[in-house]
Amino acid sequence: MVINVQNLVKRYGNLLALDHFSLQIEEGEVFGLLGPNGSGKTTAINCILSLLKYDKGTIEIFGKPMRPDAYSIKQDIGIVMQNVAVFQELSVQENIDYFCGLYVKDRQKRRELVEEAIEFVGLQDFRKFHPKKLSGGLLRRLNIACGIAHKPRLIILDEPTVAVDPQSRNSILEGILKLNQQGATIVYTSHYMEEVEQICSRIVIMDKGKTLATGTKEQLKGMIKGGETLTVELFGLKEEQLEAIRRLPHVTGAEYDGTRLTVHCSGGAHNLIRLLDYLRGQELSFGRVYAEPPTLNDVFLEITGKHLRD
Amino acid sequence: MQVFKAFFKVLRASFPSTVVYLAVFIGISLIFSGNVMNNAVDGFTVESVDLAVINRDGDTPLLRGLTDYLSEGNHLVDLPDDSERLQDALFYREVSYIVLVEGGFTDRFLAGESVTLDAVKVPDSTTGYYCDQLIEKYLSTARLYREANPGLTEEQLTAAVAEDLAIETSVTLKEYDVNTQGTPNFVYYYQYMAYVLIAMMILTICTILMVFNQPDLRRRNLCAPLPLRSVNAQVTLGCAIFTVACWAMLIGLSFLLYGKALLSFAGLPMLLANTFAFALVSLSIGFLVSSLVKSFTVLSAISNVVSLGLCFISGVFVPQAIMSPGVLTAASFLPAYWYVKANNAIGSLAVLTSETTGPIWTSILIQLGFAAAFFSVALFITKQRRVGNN
Repeated sequence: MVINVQNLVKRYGNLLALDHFSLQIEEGEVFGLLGPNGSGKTTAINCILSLLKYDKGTIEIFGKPMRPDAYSIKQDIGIVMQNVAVFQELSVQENIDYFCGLYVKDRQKRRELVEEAIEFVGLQDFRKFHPKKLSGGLLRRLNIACGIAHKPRLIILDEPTVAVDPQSRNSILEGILKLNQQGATIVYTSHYMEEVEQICSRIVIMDKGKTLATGTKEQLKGMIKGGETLTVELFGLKEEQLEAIRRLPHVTGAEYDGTRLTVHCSGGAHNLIRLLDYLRGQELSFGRVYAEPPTLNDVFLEITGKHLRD
Repeated sequence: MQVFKAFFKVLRASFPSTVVYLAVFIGISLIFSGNVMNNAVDGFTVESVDLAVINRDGDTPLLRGLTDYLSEGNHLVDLPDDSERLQDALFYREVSYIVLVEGGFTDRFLAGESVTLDAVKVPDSTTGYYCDQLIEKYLSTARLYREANPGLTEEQLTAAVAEDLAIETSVTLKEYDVNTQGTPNFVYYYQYMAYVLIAMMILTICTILMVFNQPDLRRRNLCAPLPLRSVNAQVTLGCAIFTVACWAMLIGLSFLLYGKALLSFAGLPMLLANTFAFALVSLSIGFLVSSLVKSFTVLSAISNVVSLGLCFISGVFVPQAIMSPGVLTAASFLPAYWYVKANNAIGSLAVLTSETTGPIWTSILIQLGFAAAFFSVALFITKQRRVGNN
């Protein structure tokens, strides 16, 4: 096991930031910590990295207790902070060399690693640039390069895509998957459910410092009653027809706002075909039709009664 | 030594502002030193004044003696007792000084009355003050003999005064191979060095320490397999090297500007010790300010306020001799005051004895005490902040 956190409790005065939080991460996983802002993700990461003292619980990394002076453990960890943590006075190359040099003493080896990191994040054309001359996306890439240059076994990325444009975000996510393919275990925190769904093999959903659910995305979606949501654009749906739709097999609810019919279904096959057959049978003409599978937001909504980004 | 190397890379980035301070300092030093060198006193010549004595008291031995005394080295001009003529003579600088002896002056003087001679002179002129002094000297001596020997006749009194004032003694000026007399001009350079040291240190050291103390960078460094004490030790070593380098550079510059005079100056070791102590004080102030200031934008303003404020109130730019006792008392709670005090004392050193050097070493020790106090306060604040963050 790469990370084993048991019953972690962290208080900031009267505020309970982590409430008996537990976490187990296996080697080779891309593990997602999903939760809204203020849910305790960064506090958990800071405790895991021994940047914060905690009130109760145990933390083991690579099977050894994690402490501020556990330098042999720290040697194998790469960290990409939520805020970009680089020297504004140093160039891209100097920054990566600095952070890599905190882990790798051999100058020749470090030079190679720095070059690899620069290529990995695609900053070859910006190696002499200073951070203030980089765009937000490039700055995030530099932040990642500084965290992964020494080729750690465990990489912790704390919301690395905040305030990044979609193109850079995709590039970052692809890079993270590549790192995982190269053998690194990834811990990825985010409040963007799409990102977590896209790259994480296992996810923990947390809120108010507690673990709400853990599992693969399929397991998490399977935990809730809600299945797919069907949306049909149409006019002239009568009240008795809406009631008839609500009585269709696997339909758990239906709403109509005069232009759009939304039908919520539980698990089960052919829900869309069955609905469209009914509408044709009623000689109702319809426009566009959408079928959306359940999302992690639906999972979060069902567990907490609120949306992830509330 | 990654942190140590990064320290100097960050320093490189803040180098331009340091160079500006250095250039300003060199400029000021050269200007002031030039003024001092031009004003250097390398000889003495008795001033000869064109003066007139208008005697309305008559030809008495006392006034004859005074007139004779005034004529020594000066040029007596014969003028009629006509106020318009006298004013013209003064206006056209025919004479620079006119002594007016009113009737009955000699009798009243000999009777022991407190009498003075009137004079018409060029306002605020040095010749005026010079002649005032000559007259005062003559009359004071005469007054002394009159009081000491009431039985002396006027002739005897005049003769005694003439004999007394004729006594001369030879004076030998001892010089320690220094070309100038009074305060050596490099002392002014060392005085202004206080400003440039403190300004450079606060700006540069604060900038670097604030970079390393940025919460995100600090946390990122803590994630690395590097003990915090190693990070702190490397930063401290960087600060120490920078301080010594700045000090050595300024000292080197002083040798370039005043090489021969400086090398032959007996107080040189104390001059170096004093500046080094103040360099440590500047470093400690830099530490303290960096622990208090959080924004880079206000750092420049604070650096200027602290460096200029400290230097002005402590007598770096304005001589301590002309500062009021209240200001000096307040300044004595600041390290720059002790630096300037020691620097002035070193500059006026004639001989090196424990009596003359003792106060200088005391001032240097007080500066080191200030440095230790500032370091302690800075460490306390940093520690409190770290505990608070946890």
